This record gives sequence, structure tokens and C-alpha cells, in this order.
Amino acid sequence: MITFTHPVFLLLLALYPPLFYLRHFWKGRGGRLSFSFTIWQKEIFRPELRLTRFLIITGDIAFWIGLIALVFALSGPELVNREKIYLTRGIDIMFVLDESPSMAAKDFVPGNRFEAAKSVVKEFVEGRDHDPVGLVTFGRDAVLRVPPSLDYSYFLEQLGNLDLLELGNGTAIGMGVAVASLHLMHSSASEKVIILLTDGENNAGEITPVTSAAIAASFGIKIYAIGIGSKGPVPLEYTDPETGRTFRGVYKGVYDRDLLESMALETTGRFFHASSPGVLKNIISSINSLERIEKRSKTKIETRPVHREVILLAFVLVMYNFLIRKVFLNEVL
Amino acid sequence: MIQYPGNLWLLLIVIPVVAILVSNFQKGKHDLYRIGGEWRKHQLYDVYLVKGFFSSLSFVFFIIFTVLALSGVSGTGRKIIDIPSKADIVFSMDISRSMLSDDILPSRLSRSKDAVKNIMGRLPEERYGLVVFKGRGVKLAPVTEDSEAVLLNLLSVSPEMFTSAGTNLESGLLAAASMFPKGEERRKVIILFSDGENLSGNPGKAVQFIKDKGIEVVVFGAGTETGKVLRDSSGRIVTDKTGNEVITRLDRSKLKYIASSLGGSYFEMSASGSVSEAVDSLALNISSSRLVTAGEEAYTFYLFLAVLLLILFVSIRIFPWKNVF
Repeated sequence: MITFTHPVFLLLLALYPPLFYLRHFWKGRGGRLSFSFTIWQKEIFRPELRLTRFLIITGDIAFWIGLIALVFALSGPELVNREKIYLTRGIDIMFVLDESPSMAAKDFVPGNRFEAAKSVVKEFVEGRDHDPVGLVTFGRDAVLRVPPSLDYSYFLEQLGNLDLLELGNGTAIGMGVAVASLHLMHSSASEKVIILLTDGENNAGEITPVTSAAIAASFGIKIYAIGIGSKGPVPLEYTDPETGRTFRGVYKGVYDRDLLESMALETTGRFFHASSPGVLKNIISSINSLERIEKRSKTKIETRPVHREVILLAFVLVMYNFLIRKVFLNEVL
Repeated sequence: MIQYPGNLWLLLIVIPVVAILVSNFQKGKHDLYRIGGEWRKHQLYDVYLVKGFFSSLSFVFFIIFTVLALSGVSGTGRKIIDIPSKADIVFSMDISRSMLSDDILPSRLSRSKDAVKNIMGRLPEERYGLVVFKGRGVKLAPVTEDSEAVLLNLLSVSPEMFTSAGTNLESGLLAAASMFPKGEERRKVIILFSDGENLSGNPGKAVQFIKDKGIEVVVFGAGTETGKVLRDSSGRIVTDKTGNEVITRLDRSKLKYIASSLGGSYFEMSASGSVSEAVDSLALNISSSRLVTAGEEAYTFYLFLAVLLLILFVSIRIFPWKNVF
């Protein structure tokens, strides 16, 4: 957007229409030589001066645009940039995502559980505004992928790069939650949240889920535990990233509902059961609306003066006119 | 005071312009006598002279005043800018092979890593991010409050992290500059670690970007100017085609130049206490405001004159020739 610091100078533009008329159309103007020379009963004498006419017209157009641009430059044009500045600190949200092979189960059509989980996380993050988000994934081991950060593009890039089984065959829920808690420990946010997405029973890791929930609770972190999966055997297919071999089979395991419930309870969070992608989506959007705090913000207005660019343009245009009239056409006055 | 003194060279245009105006005036005089006739020579010449004189004068002064307006002559306006007390600091670390040189012990890279830890220890309240660069810049940790995550990533920093030849400082700076989150009123600081050797890319592009975003820069030079032989990953000394040992040195002047063109300060890792000096120079945790010369220049005055002169230039032409023609 453009604003003017001294818009009063724009009034000078009012001088231009009469000046333009006098300069180009007024019959009594100077620099105009009228002579009465006609051929009897024929058309008036018109020299063929196509190139000259063209040059004069472009020169005149350049000159008047230049003259207008000068007035614009005079009124102090500024480019305005508005930036929203948040005065309050957002909520820290850490996703803890299961990367175990069972997440390849194909009951979450069209893809598998893992793809469905990734896409709802992506949607969630895209819908947030100024809340730091982080990502921990776990298989047999747990790893911090993204520390809590406002850099959503980095988060989404890392999320997109995730693959099943990168962290081995296993489900170390306790480790996942513990790693997430560790990285939320020093956070200055008034509210810290872990969103845990898993579909299996804890079967790996040095820290049990119950202990990890206690750790989280001691740091004031809330856990939203989401159990993923439908009941009954489901077909499963995944490719081991190390060997490149594809495994197919039928998966029967279910997540430990009591455990997840108790983890949520211990940390004043909530437990959800997601049996289908649609339900998962609804759960995530309800967490999204639950975890909102009032945000105060102000608008910072930054202006950048652009008069120099405009002056330069005007100068070039006027000099172009000068060049055409005085050099190419040898105009005297 | 003149803000853009380089623009004053444009005043040289006046010389050819005056030459053209004078020569056209002379040519015009002869044509005038031919059209107007010898008998009213003096009457015509008077009008011609007056018109020619004022028209040329107004155009020449139009050029002069426009150039003065362009060069931003006499800027006396001042403005107070508040500097936020909190900062986002992004470390941008050169991980080219030469950073493994041990001309400063244990190695340039280890010393740089120590400096990062040192700075983070001294300023625990700030948020940090980490970028490494070789042929291109790679984000290792986004700007975060979670210092542990940054330190964790710092551990894994080594020239073997990825393969891309060269040391592209431009991409290292741009990757760092793009990391600062929007919507925050915090100082933005990039701390660059490099030995300045074999820098490719055009830092000029990054410089403008960084300046526009109001990012502050601190440059740390790693190494010594005497340098040391370069070793490859198996520990053998690297030689060039003629069999001479390749010596890797700190390119102080290049790094200093980069620091000064970004309005930042330069420190040398080999000097003792350089890290604390750098931290002090940032003067973080001090809420302050700064008085700067603002862009509110007196250009309007000159430009107003220029516009009036150009209008005069047009008007002289319009003004009738006392009914001579």
C-alpha cells in the first residue's frame, strides 16, 4: 500500500490540465508557426513525417508522465508494511507421534494410520497462530524431530520427511512422552501441551508410560492421548527403510486404553479414541479449540519512502523528451 | 549532510545539456532571420534571446535541483527507535573442510562450537537457532526457546554432515536470515562463524536482504593468518597439482569486509575474551532506544523548485511571440 506524507502537493496536479491544453491545443501558443499554404481544390499540404511524429508523441508522453511523477515524488510516497506483533506468549504444543510398524495398518482409508495421523497434524499446525509447535517421534526409541518453534514451515518439512520404522520395531510410548517433556521443561509458556498419537501397547524403552506421565505432570504439562485404530484384524503393509523389503500381514493388536486414559488423567488432559480418519480429524479439531488462550497483539506499521525511485523515473522520462526534441529533432526552443 | 553523494555525479549531465542548448540556439538564430526577414531582425532577436535564455536556464536548474533532491542533501531529521530487549539469535556455521584445521586448538570448528555454547550460557534468556553451510545453507534447529535441542544439534555438526563443494556464504546468511519468526518484537541477530576461505556466492545479495530486515550481524573469524596445512578425512596432508602442500588460512580482510558491509562487528576467535566482547557488544538484556538520522530529508524543497522550473520551462514555450508570427 502507498501513502503520502505531504499529500497537499498533489494539488499541483490541478495545474496540469490547463497547462496541457495551452501547450498542445491552444491556437495562440508560441512555438507554433501557422502559414497559409494550400493547393487549390486539393487537400491541405501534409508532409509525411511518420517517424518524427512518433518520436514527438512518445517524447511528449514521457514528459507529461515525468511531470506527474515529480508531483507524486514531492508528496512523499511511502510503501506501508503492516505486521501483526503478538504481545502474549502462545501455548507450547508438542506432538508425540508413533512410528512403529503397526501404524501401517490400512484401516484408515485411503492410506494407513500413519499417513492419516500426519495429515491431521499438518492441518492442526496450519490452523494455529503463533503457538510454538514441536515434534517427537518414537518406535523402539524416541527422538526429538523439531523443538517447540514458531517456524511452522520447518515443522511441516520435517513432518513430511517422516517414514515408518526409522526408529526400529517397537512402541516406546514412555520414552516419547519423556523426551517431549524434557524439551518443554524450560519453556516459558504458561501452558504446555503434549498430543500423543499411538496405536500400540508400550513394549520398549527405559521409561514406563506411567513414569513419563508423572514427569510431564511435574512440569505442568497436559497430555492429550489419542488411541488410534479400529477393532479386529486389519491388513498391514510397510517397507523397511533399511532393507527395502516390503512386509504384508494382518495386524491384531490394540492400544492400551487404560494406560492412555490414566496418562491423560494424571496430567489433567483427556483421552480420545480414534477409530477412523474422520473421528481423528474431529478429535484434533476439538483439541485445537480447547487449547486456545487469549492473544493480545498490536499492529506495527513500517514505512519505506520510495520518492527517490519516483524522482529517478521522472528524471529519465524528462531527459528522454529532451534528447528527442533537442538532439534528434534539433528543436530550437 | 548528503545521504547519497554518488548521485551528485549526475550533475555532469548539465555540461552536454548546456552545449546542446547553446548550439541549438545558434542554429536557430540563422533560421529565425531566414523566416522572419532581415527587416525585423532586432525585434525577433530580442524575443528569441529572452525566451531562449529563460527556457535554458529553467531546464538547467531543473536538472540541478532534481539531482540535489535525489542525493538527499541536508538531512537533519532525527527519530527515536526503540530497541527490544529480547533477541532471537541464529548461529550460522561454516562447515567446510578447512574448519577442521588445528591452527587454533583443538580446531576451528570445535572452537566455534565452544563459542556457541559460551554465548548460550551467557545469554540464557534468548531464543536460538542453528544453520550450517557448505555449498548451501541447511537449517539444523529452528529458532526455539529449547536450548537443549540446539546444543543437541550442535554436537552433530561436522564437515561430513552433507556433501556439497565450496563455502557459499551467501546461502549461509540467507538461510539464517529466513529463520526469524514473524510477529515478534525482538532483535534479530546472526552470529557467523567462518574462516573466510574459498567463499563463493555473492554475499552482496544477502547483505541487502539482511539490512532491509533490520538484522544485526556479528562475524567470528576462525583460524590464524599464518594458517596451517590442510588434511583430508584420512589425516593425509592435501597437496595441489604441483605437489605443494595446501595451506589453509584465515581470510581476515574478507570477513571484516562482510561484517562492515552489514554494519556488524568482527571478532577473532584466537583472541582471548573475544566471545565476552562480542556478547557485550550486542548489549542484550538492556532495554534501550537509539537516535537515528531519519530519512525525512529536505528533498521536498529542492524537488518543489525543480517542478516549478519545469512548469516554467513549458510556459515559456507556450508564451506567444508578441504576435510576430
